[in-house]
Amino acid sequence: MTTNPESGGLDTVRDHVIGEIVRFADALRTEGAAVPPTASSTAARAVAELPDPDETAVRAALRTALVSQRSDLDAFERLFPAFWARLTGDGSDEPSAADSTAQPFAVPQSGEPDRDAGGGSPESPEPLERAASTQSSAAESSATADGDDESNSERDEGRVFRALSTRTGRSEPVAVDDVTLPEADVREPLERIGRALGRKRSRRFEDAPAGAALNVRRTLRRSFGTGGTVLEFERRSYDRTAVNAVVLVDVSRSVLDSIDRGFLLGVLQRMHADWRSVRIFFFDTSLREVTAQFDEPTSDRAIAALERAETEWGGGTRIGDAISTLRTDYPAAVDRETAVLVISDGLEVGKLDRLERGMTWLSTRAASVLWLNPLATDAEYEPTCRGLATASPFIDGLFGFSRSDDLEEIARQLTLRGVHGRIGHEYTVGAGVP
Amino acid sequence: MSETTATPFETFTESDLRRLFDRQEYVAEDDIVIPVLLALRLGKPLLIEGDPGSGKTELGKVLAAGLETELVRLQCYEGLAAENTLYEWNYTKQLLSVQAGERGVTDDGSVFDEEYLLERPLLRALSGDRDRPAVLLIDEVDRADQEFEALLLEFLSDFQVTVPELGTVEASVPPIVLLTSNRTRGLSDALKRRCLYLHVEPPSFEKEREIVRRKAPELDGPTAAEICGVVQRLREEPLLKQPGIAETLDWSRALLALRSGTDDDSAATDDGDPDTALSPQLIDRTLSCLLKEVEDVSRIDDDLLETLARAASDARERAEAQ
Repeated sequence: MTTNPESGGLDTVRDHVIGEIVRFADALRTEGAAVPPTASSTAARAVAELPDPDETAVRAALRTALVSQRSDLDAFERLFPAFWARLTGDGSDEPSAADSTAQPFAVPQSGEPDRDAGGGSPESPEPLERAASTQSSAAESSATADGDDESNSERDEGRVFRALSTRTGRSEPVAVDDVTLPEADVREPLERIGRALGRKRSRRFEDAPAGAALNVRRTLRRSFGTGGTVLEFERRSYDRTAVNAVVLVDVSRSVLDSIDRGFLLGVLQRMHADWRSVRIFFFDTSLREVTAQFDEPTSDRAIAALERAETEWGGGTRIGDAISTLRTDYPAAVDRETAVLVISDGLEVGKLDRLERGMTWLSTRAASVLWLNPLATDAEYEPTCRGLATASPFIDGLFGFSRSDDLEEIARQLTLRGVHGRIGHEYTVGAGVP
Repeated sequence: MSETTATPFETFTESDLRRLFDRQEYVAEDDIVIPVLLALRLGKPLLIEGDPGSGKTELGKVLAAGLETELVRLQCYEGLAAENTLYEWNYTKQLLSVQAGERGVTDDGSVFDEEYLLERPLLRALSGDRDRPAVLLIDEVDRADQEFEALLLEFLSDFQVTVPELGTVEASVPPIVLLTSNRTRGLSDALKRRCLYLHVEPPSFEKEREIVRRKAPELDGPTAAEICGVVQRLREEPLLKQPGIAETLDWSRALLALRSGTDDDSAATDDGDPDTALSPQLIDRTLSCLLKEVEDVSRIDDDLLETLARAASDARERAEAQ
């Protein structure tokens, strides 16, 4: 190994560089990137360690320190050129923090104040973070004043969910007046469904020959038969009944017309409250997560939260697009421990190959995929519409879903035959097959 | 982890690292060299994400071999528990020792001694007399449960393990920690906060050709270019499982094996064109090396085979023109 004389630690980084890094991190956070609180400090140290801090090296170093998930890479790449331009003064209308020097990473001369810095010392970037945040806010205000309000308007749009187009209905906001909550208690069947779908470790132990933990009580009890000599160790492991679930709820006009909205929202709220981890997504022509709105303790407050969030529903049905968005924007939502529930009538108006690709991904990625269809409550129902015909090969069970009796039936079948057994609306009692 | 963690790589330079990779025949561009260099110099764990087969695990092996230090590998899986990763007591040995003591055969003291301790990978990475840090490869951390992640947080923060009966085992030289993930589930923010991050992108054509050239030196340049041309074109298809570098190398070796079984004298046709060029039929016969999902295989029709063969031909022409 050789000594690198060019790297001298954090004090080799000019204050303005730290300030720009903090500002860059702040901009990434504004774009929704998950930038850890300590990342700015790490990034500054990383830059200090670079023997030759040219654009390529700085880009790689900041990517390493500021980004922590793949989905944030796009935002990083989008914002980096502006950061670099500010740092080096290339092609930027803004006065560069480094315009006094061609070497943005050069150490300031001893005794020379770094006039571009926001304040604080290199060893304590936290004060700088506050300063840079202020600076960043000011810059954003300035950008808005200049008419460059694209990012702000995008953020505002993000809070209001809008369907882009619809062939079967126009999106409208969820309104409390439109929803009445039924009296039916869905808690008990949902509990049984949850237990049957559970793939995640619960807090209870069960006996398991190859369990990770030693079952001392059983080991000792068994040793009584051999005069106290332990010949075999009994083991135990955690029961796997806790359920992670992703619920994709088709809120297109056709579904809302065929299901009691209060029942639908009540089931979602109860599911979210009782199961280990449930993420809920609404989709019609676009997908949006509404899990936070279901954090409310009761169904009526959850509905009110949906109204406050200006959540819309009632557009057309694009299931394939919704799954595709789920895959790209929420890649961590579905894993091998997750049960996916799709609540939809399957009347797809989007591209079928897109739906097929999405269902293929879902079925290989998730522990199980159940399709709950308000139309399948009819004993004569057959999944022949083009959306369901495409999706059917990839689902573990298709069930009717419009009232609490349907949940009872789902719970019965899952308990009886398991999630990968012979289950579905065709096995419903009264549908010809017991 | 403390921000001032001492690291023996404070003077390790980029050129040192590039030489190390070169010696190990590992093709690494800036997007890999810089993060690894920073992980070494800052003494922080490096979380490596990327599609299966993109060379994440290989990076750990290469580092260990290049630094001439021990590679401690922990393969994560569902249900992985602390006992499997830190230490276990050798119950059987303890039991026999106690019984021997009762019969007066031995006069041992405590059975909670290092003699009865079974080291598992995390403890192994800390213990032992080393002048160089071990490379700890925590492979596919996303396969483990979230409870294991919580255990890792403590380990990565302090690089020490407490065995209640013995005391604290602290690393004299903290290990170089690499964590790999295929993104089958999201990792906790707490874990990500402790790590530097590297996303391994699918390789460019040039990089992949260089990898094939180094790992399968028996292949001539134009054929290596053909192989990479096909794989690059295949990655443009919406496949369930994109072929990674590992698949490219498998395919290269498979083609080599096929050719070694044919008559070398017939390697060129009368018009001088090599008959070793990738034909649609040959691609079709050997696609199993690249595609691992039945849906992906069924996607390959005659048109796509022709397209792949054209991509191979184009890549060969480009290589020959250089």
